[in-house]
Amino acid sequence: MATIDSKASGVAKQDPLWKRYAPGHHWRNQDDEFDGAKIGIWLFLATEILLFSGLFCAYAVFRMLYPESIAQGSQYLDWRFGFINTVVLLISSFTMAMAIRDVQLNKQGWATINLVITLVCATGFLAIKFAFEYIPKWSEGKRLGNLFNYPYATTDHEHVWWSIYYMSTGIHATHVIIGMGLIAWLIYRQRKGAYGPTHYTMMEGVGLYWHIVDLVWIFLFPLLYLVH
Amino acid sequence: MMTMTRMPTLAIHDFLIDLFFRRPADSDVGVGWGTDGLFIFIWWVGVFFFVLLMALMGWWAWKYRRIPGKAAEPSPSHNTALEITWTVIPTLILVVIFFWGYNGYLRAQMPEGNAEQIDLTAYKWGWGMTYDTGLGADETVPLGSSEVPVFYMPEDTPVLLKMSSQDVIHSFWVPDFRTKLDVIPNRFTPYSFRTLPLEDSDNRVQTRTVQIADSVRENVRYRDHWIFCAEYCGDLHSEMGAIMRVVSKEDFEWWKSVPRYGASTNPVEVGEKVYIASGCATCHSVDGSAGTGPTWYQVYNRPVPFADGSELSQAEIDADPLAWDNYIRESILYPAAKIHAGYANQMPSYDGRLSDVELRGLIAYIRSLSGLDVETENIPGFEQLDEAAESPQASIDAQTNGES
Amino acid sequence: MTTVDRGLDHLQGGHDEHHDVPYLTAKGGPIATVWDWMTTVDHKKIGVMYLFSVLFMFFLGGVAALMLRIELFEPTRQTAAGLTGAAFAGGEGSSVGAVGKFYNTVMTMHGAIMVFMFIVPGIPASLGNFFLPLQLGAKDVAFPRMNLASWYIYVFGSFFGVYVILTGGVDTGWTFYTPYSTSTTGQPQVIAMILAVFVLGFSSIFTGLNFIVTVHKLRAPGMGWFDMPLFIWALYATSIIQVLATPVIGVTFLLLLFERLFQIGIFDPGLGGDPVLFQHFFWFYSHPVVYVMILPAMGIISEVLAVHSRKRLFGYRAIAFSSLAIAAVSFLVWGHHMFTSQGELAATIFSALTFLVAIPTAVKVFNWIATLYKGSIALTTPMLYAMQFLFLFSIGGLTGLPLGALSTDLHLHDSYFVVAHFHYVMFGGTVIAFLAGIHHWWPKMFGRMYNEFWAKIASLIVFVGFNLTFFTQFFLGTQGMPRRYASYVDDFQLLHQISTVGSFILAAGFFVHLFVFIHSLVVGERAGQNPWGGLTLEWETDPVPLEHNFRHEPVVRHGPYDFESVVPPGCDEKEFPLPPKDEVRTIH
Ligand code: HEA
Ligand code: HEA
Ligand code: CUA
Ligand SMILES: [Cu+2]
Repeated sequence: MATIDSKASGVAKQDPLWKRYAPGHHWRNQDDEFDGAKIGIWLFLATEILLFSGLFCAYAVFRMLYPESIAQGSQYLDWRFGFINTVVLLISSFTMAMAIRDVQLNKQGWATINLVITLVCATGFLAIKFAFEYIPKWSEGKRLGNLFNYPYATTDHEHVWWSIYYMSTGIHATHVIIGMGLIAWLIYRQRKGAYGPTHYTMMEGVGLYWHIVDLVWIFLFPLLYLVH
Repeated sequence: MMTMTRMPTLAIHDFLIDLFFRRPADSDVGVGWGTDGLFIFIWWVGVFFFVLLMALMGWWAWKYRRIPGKAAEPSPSHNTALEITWTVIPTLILVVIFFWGYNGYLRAQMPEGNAEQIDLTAYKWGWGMTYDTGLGADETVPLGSSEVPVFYMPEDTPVLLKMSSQDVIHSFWVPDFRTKLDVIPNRFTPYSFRTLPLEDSDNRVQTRTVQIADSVRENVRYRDHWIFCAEYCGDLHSEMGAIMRVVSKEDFEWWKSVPRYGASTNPVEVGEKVYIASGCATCHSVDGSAGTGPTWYQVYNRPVPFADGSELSQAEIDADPLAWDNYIRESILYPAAKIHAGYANQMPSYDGRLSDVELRGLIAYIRSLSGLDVETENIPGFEQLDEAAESPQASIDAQTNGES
Repeated sequence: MTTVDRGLDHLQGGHDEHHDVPYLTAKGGPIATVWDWMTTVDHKKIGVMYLFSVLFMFFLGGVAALMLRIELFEPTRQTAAGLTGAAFAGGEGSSVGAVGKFYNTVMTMHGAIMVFMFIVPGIPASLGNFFLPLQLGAKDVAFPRMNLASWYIYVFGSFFGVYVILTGGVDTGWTFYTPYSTSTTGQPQVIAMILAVFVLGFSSIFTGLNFIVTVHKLRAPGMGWFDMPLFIWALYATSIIQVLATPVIGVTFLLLLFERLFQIGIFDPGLGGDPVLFQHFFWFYSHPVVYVMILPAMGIISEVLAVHSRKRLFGYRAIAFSSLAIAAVSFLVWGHHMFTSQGELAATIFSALTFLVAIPTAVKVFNWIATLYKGSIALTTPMLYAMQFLFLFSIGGLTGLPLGALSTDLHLHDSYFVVAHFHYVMFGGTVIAFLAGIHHWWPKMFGRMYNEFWAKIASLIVFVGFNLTFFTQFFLGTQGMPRRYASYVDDFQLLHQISTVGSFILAAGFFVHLFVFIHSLVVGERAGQNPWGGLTLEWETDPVPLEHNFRHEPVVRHGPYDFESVVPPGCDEKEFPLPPKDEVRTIH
């Protein structure tokens, strides 16, 4: 079972990086390393879910405390932008999964294309978020906490709504930005031939992360935009 | 009735109560089985298991000490029956403890129907009680290193404190009652208890003569309880105490209804009383020393710089003889309106907690601290003092009238 | 189970030429050595670096504790200004308020340093890092670079903490309750402290995540789950808590940070927020975290008791499963810190669940005591500390019961009874077990023995000092002394004075320990491979483990506690004799 050796199976210099990949010296073999990394990623995703659960709890509490402010708040949001963004993220999740599949089949060209589409979608998501939501709202004075100065507020606790809105979508957007960095890096490495059928740990990891980012949005969207 | 709920008097039990609590609980909740009894029960459970385990540990550590060259004799390494036993027995004991504690807790939480309702406000750093007549505490005694207000309570009476906080979270704790409850801003929390009767056999019941303004009452029997703030609230958290003084019902009625300020009471004296009783003393000094708030010494009719850069200038003061009086009034009722430069916006509002008479007394007191004359006529509105001072209720009426 | 011996592989020109030297061997000159340590991904070096970092933090926290005790020697506040001089009075003069603020600051720094920078990372990141891979027979933890990152993040976070101390400290209490923490003065310090906790959370998550994966994937061939030493089980349960609870404190402190910066109105009642929500969030993390503190300590106690009494642990499975049970239930009891601020129904449920979590702990204690029965007990320093643990932790745990019961907690909440309770479990439990572990594994970590005689003397001083300091506080609490008080009513003075005297005896004990350790590092006698006769895999390594731990990949052929049938590796059978074979047969 436990035979590993990086240099055993005659790897040549001109082989792509993924063929030359050797697991860390403390791993018994590459499969173990891959499984380990995967458990690690899943644990990390568990921490992400708990992080957002905190925000969801806060949302639930304030929904109970100030139903009218929260209802009023979500009325300010245009569900169409939220919906478009949901679609955009779903597409990107799909292309991410496809990219991994391409790498497993060693279709490097397609993998790049899919990764690039993912990156474009992520950018699109942020662009929509900023251009149609954050910037117009912020400039109207619909801001969080003590920065709130929207003159036409009709309920008492709208600043709390905006705090929840900006905190939860803001933390989510931060995750999207981090994800974009990771995907860009994946593209760079993938072009260098780092990932292939026998080694795609990083792709798998980032992919799972990206799905979680998507999943969180799928919860945020109805909570913030649809439930009045 | 009280004696029935007390624990059966065993010498060892009394000794333990004395050791842990200094004396048996002084309210329904703590008495007998509710808190003291449960605590002592847990103590015995703890002692039993602790002594048993430590005795075995010591005995075996000695008996099976290592002897060089000799192997340990083989022994079993698990035993399911034993394992189950020592899971089940603690579980059963814990179930008992849980229900016992739950029962006591319910009694502590449930107010009696006809309870006397009193408002309690907590602020950094003091307690204020407002009785149904609008009256507050007006006497202080030393507790630890600070002067704290005295809250009178009638004996043998159910009481419900409607508590709220003006700033941060505090917690109202009467150790003798064995219960505490957090006092939270923007929310009322109810603290209920029943004061015990003052029994002659109780050597903690003391007697003293009480004087309020011109009225004197002798042989007032009373028993004092410590009140502490138990939720951390900042610099003077440990100074945030008070005394609850349980007196007979008649004495309480007398205390509540006797006029506070006699016809002859000098406004400066009124101010000085209020200065102490309403908690101004916690933050403002009268000798010029630094404190959480600005000192009152030698400040009257002097210019004041504000945090936002503006000021109450000498010119304004000279132009308007009431400028400073109004500034004081505003600072007491709406402290956040103008913040003295160099100080934080920390002071709670006294709106509704001071009568006009008291307010004017404070103004007079502050004036006197600058060595200014304190003649009544010079203080606007003080002419009404005579009528207003009859009773606290009257003073509130006076205030309402004044504003309409 | 088949195994392939990889040790030889490496000797024939493996990819790392340093693999066969002890890990402590210096790499060239001083600068090269320092550089080597700062960039190492070796779990042993990281463990040692963590050990010294957390002990340094412990020292800082201890100094703060002594300052508290000095202030509390007298009921009034002015004493402090006199005794500790200018420090206590601060620059603001010695008005009552200023001294109060200073006391509160020291109290906060004491609590926050001890919890976030000492005891939470404490055992897992130091002893755990060093011995988890060794006990599993692995060459390293699963993600070595992440491990190093964890240490750097820890140091970075602690720098915030030290920065805060140097610039005057914060006075929020380690619990940061709102709205006090969002309104108290000292904006940059409070923000830095919030960031410190936030950052330290990442280091904690990294460690926990690393350990879980290591346990799953890097056990030596032949080691099934129930062949793992109980220290590993404990660390595994701890890691689960770290991974699942820490993110919640992360988001809580993020919200707190924004509350402080932009008054977002989530926690501040003045702006429509809910201060009790903060408490729920805070304790959802901070209660599980008390089991992050105690579980690894319990793991150490299991090891030490077994090895030093040469006895198979009684009820191995019960102890292993109770660790997991504690980890699971620990997430359900946070509300017992808030009986005085929440509704009846919630309080009742939390009280019931609190008792549930006491049961697996009781099971452990019974099993440990039963382990001693018919052992061959050597009263070494680690063993003395293990017995102290049983003594002190039992007191600490049993005093948790009146806190968990509703009616009694209404009286005891936020009193010195709570202070005594948590020092008995955190100090009497975790710190004492930490000391047991440090002594137990000292020879393996540094290859030298320490002076048994002086170590025992020190442990005795610690025991006496500790009980004087904290036993008195139970009575202070029941009699009505609230915690976080800088001054108090005269009636409490005697007990406070005993406590203060005790704390200085305690500190003296630690200084003796410090000298014993320094003495050992400098001139200590060289330790053998296996001085105590342990059977877990770390004792199969060289006296000072090699860089890659084992000469050959270890193969597990016996359980971690088969003392009755296995001669310990590297030991003489005369010194560690086995019972006659025919008797052994009857055991299982
Ligand atoms: C190492 C950390 C640690 C551990 C292990 C524990 C263990 C326990 N704690 Fe403690 N606790 C703290 C650290 C810890 N605690 C801290 C830091 C605080 C204060 C935080 C703050 O406010 O600043 C606190 C506060 C605290 C409170 C809140 C008090 C208040 O503020 O009002 C409560 C209430 O339920 C509580 C209960 C318990 C219980 C029931 C256990 C149980 O797990 C104990 C189980 C152990 C035993 C029961 C003893 C051993 C068993 C036997 C000897 C066998 C016989 C047993 C039976 C018959 C039951 N603790
Ligand atoms: C791990 C946790 C831990 C530890 C070990 C300690 C240790 C000590 N604690 Fe503390 N304590 C807390 C955690 C801890 N505490 C917490 C969380 C609070 C609550 C804070 C709050 O309310 O916000 C608290 C609060 C607290 C209070 C209450 C303050 C108040 O409510 O007003 C007091 C008062 O006496 C106190 C005292 C002490 C003392 C005297 C020690 C002594 O045992 C310290 C002795 C140690 C030393 C003197 C250091 C010596 C070290 C070396 C020399 C380094 C070398 C090391 C080795 C060789 C191993 N602590
Ligand atoms: Cu008010 Cu503490
Ligand atoms: Cu807890």
